[in-house]
Amino acid sequence: MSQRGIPMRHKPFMLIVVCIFVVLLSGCWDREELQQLSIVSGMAIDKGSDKIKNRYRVTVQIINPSQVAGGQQGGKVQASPVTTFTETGSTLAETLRKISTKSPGELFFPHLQVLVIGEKVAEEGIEDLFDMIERDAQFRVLFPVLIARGHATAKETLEVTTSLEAIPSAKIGDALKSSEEDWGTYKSTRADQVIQGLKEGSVVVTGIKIDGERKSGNATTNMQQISPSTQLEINGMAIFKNGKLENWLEGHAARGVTWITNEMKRTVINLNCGKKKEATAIEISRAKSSTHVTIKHQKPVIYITVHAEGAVLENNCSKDLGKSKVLGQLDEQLEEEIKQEVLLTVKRAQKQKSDIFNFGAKVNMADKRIWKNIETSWEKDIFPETEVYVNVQAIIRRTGMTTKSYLNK
Amino acid sequence: MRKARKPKKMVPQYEEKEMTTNKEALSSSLAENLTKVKDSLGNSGDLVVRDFKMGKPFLCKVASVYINGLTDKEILGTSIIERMMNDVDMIEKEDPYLPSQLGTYIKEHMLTITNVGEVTNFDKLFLHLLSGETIVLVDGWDQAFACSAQGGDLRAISEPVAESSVRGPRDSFTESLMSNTAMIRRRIKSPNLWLETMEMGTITQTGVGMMYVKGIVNDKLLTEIKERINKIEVDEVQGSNTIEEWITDETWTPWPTVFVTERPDVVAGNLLEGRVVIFVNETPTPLIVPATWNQFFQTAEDYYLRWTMASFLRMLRIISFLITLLGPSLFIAFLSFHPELIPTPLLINLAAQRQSIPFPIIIEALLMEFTFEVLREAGIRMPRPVGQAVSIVGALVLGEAAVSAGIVSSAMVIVVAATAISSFTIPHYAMTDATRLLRFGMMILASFFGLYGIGLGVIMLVAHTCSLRSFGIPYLAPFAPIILADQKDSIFRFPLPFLSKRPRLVSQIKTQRTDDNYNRGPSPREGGMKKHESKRDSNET
Amino acid sequence: MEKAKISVIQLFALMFIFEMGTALVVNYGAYAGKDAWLSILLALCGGIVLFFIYYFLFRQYPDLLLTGYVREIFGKYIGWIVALLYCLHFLYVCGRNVRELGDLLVSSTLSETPLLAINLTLVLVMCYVIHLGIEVVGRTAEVFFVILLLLGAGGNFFVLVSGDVDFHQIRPFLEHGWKPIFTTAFPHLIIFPFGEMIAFTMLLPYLNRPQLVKRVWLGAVISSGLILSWMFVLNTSVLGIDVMQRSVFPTLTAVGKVNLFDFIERLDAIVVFTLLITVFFKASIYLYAAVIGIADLFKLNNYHQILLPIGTVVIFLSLSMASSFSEHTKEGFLFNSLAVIPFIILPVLLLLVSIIRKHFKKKMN
Repeated sequence: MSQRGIPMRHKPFMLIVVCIFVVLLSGCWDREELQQLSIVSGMAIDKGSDKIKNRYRVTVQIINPSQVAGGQQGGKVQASPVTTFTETGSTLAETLRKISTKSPGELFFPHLQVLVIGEKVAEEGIEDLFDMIERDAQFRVLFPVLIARGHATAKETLEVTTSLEAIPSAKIGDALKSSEEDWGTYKSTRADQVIQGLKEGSVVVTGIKIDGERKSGNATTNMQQISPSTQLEINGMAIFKNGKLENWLEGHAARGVTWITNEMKRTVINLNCGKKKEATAIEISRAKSSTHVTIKHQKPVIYITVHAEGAVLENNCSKDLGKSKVLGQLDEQLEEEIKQEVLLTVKRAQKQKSDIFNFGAKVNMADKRIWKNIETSWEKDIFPETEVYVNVQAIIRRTGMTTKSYLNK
Repeated sequence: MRKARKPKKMVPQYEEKEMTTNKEALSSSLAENLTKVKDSLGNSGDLVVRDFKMGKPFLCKVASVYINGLTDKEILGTSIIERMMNDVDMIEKEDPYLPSQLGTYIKEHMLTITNVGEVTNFDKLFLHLLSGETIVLVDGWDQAFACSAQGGDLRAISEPVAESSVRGPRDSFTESLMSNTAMIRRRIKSPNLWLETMEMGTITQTGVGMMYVKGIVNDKLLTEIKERINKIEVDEVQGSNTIEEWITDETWTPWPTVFVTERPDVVAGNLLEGRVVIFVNETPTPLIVPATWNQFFQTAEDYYLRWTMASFLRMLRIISFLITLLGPSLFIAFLSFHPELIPTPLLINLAAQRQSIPFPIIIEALLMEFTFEVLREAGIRMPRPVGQAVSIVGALVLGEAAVSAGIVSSAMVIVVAATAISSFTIPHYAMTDATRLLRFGMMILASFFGLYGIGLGVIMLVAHTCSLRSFGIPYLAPFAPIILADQKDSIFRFPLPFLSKRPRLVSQIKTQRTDDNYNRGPSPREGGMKKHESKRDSNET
Repeated sequence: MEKAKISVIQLFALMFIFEMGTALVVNYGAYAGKDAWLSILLALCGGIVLFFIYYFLFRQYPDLLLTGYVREIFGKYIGWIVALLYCLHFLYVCGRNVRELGDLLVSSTLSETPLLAINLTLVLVMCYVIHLGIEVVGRTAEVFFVILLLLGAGGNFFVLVSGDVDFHQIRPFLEHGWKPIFTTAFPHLIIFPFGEMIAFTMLLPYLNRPQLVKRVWLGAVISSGLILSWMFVLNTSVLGIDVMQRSVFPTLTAVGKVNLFDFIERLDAIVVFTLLITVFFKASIYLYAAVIGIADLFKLNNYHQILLPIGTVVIFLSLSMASSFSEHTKEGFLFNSLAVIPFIILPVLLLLVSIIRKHFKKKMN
């Protein structure tokens, strides 16, 4: 081998080495230091000041990790565990980037816990808000969406401090979850469900409102009181048609939605006991529902079947629950009660001309040809006139630790 | 250009060194021989010459030459010198002998020593002399005897240092070649267990022994090993590593392709699978070839425990290996590149910890890992009384202090500690060393491309490992190429009655250990005992 | 050709991983609507038919590569050109696959990294592995086959258990009739990925037991076809057909929804690794086929010398192929329609011509 230059067999090796150096020395592009990220836990969208340039007012809530995790580094000022920044803009993406003028680091969305939308924005339409959420890889569509009711803005809703949970957004998420599991009336709606509903036409979204003083929620003094002056409450289910807020469902009507969409986990239903109204409380521990559509005379007919199981939780009347006949009667009462709730909800939806339960897909499954014909006029004309039959099977299995109450009346 | 199949490159040539080989023959004059021996050894202080006269009337001059310290003086005294000096009267009865006849007579009738060899040239003479044998020189005869009266102080058989076991035998190899081979012979009492000896190392002339079981071992493997050993031309063979690095298939790889152990039961087990063991004198760790990757995750203890525990422990080791290899890199990748893949509460905690750390994660990780390697090495080199203190100081205090000072985060300390402890689970240090080195490479890849980098790194590593062969056997057998029959003894260990076949690729001749239809022990349905003639209920004992 | 042999399991592993390819993650056949799983099954049948064409050709020339017997059948000059076109075609598809992996990574996790870096590193690693020889590629495939199965089983298990699955989303069947099913199956689905197996005709001579080619190939095609069909059903059940049609990487979105006990969540990494493994092997096979083919055509001793230059060509191809992802997809459609020629028409032609030639030879004797 000649001593001049690089021998031929070394050349490919040198080439590889050069390539590798080029790649490595130019730096790693995606590396983000954890402490430079601003982890967003909650987002609130309110109506902006005008129609175009400042359409939306977006607030993001950023976690301050050292305050949340119980600062080891010690000796720091007692700062608030979260900080919010607000900006206005015409699209969600633009507004969020504008916030970078205020926030200390790049906004980091994968850990978003909750999205609150103000009622005024909801009334004008939420269709334009979800495309970025679906498109950007940073947004994971599993977080719940809430509509802020009443006079409070979404921003204020997001800023209510509580003593049980350091991050307000996390608290909202937890409250939603526990409400869904224990009370069942206001089920949560995930962002992907909202998107699916927007595509289909109608969707129902959970609502949240502030109890108490609106302004004083935004301070740590709020959580230092035993009875905080400002509290959050999950309340109401908003019906959206074509992306606009139309009406609210409350109480029993809202619970009906949970029954029909098969998301009921646990709840309590009160039954009358003779003359005493709402004397017996039954806890529903398991529920399953299914919807079935058949075509009669070229028209769809909807059959809803609900199976529920429960136990007696409270009995304030003198009926002896040890007798199975009494329990049988209670079963029937329960069935009737549930049926009324479901029918109430369906009637409301029909009055609203919104198919929030997506019965249309079931019609499609039953007979696709008929669906093709009626698809466009389903929500407006056909759904409000469709017959709905509800069949409930409820069984009360247990009565708790006692059979007969101590009451004599 | 290397092709995948060719096992070995040519040994690089080096010039024949001018060695003073004493191929010259012994002279007949005792005085000359003795002078030659003394001069060659430079009148070394441990060379002892004991000369005396034999025959009537003390005609023949005889001398015994030995190295002090290498000789068992009692045997020398009683079996050699005493016999030669005391049995003089026997000689007197005959006519005076020619020196050669005297020599033969001494050898055949007088020396009650166990082994006598004949020496005709100085080369051989020095070899025997320096191995501890006693040379008997007869004046007037141009040959000499080498009597094996070896002795001296050798280390007794003790417990293994690195591979201890609870239930299995506790002896380990010593530095003496014959003692080691004896330990194997005791375990395999088959005449097919053959031993081939040779000397290696032009200056050290170390005894090397190759043991195998004829009939099970693959003959092609044997010829290949012998060929490679014969190519070795070095000054010294100190420790089996010299031979290992010469005969190994692949030099440019971190993985060990030759297995090293210090336990005779492991060696015996491997011999019975068709492998070859190479003993080196003065080294308690022989080599076993060929070696595959999963051998390094098996211990002798696996076969002394129940199969359930053994399988669990093997899987534990493989998982520990993965933790050692990928632990820090995954940590770096997740925290730097993919924080979206960490659950939220954990992320908040980690972010809180990192708030005041001045370094990027990669620097922190490399710093901690490097510090740990320094601590580990220091712990080995420290003299024993101080060693304990160093490890406690290093681990606890350094870790704690570093976290409090805000130089590293506690999560990092945990990751480094977990990695280190996992690395100790791997039974053989050669594999541990390899993993420790590789994890640095993985960390660097992770710091550039995150999980994608780790993925690429794993692919490269697997491909590289798949391309290795150890004496013709693919290194990753039985995982790649998948050999179903061998899976019973790789990650899991099936109960022994099920292990009826030897590893297929190693022996290729005699792969059946026991009959497949072997009656697998008592059947529980029949009450545990074979059916008796008696009509007793199986509930009665 | 190398002097190497791969075993039956290794070939199966290679074929299986190859078939799964990007189809596992990318939007595959969803333009047929909810019945795409039927389309996939139909395409599977088509793939089996294609296999028999390739198989007969293999049987006629068991020791030659595709480039070899193309020249035998079509004559030296035309055959040479056709064989070269095949090699260029392999290179192009290799570039496509590399580009798709790069796009997935950049879209989902590594959003700042330039495509060049990802493609460069991928092709370099591919070149390294191919440089070690086809045997090593086979063995590596065996190891990763097991890993892929584990990842797949894990991912499927979590998705099924997570409660997001609603199999009714597949109904109604045949919503739009049989026509969309057929138009998607042929030509799109049959080409990608079943027709792409033609690359393996460059590898068949390496099998150590040629009589098992049928079993291996059919086994791989059928099992991967079934799994692809199942993946479509699963993804649609989780996402709904609407999101399915609109999303770029449906499997990623579907697995991203898994949230068990608030702890097992964000399992995207499974999908990313799966795609990395499948694309790696698919692109490697293509690259290997192209390199071997070119070495064969230009009568080189071994392929190692041209490996790195051709790898560089692939990198360049993958980057300049399309300037946006939408263009890439459009090109894909166009390509699939055109690919009918080299995948289906040409092999049939080859088969016919070879049969005719043999017939004539017999007549002459």
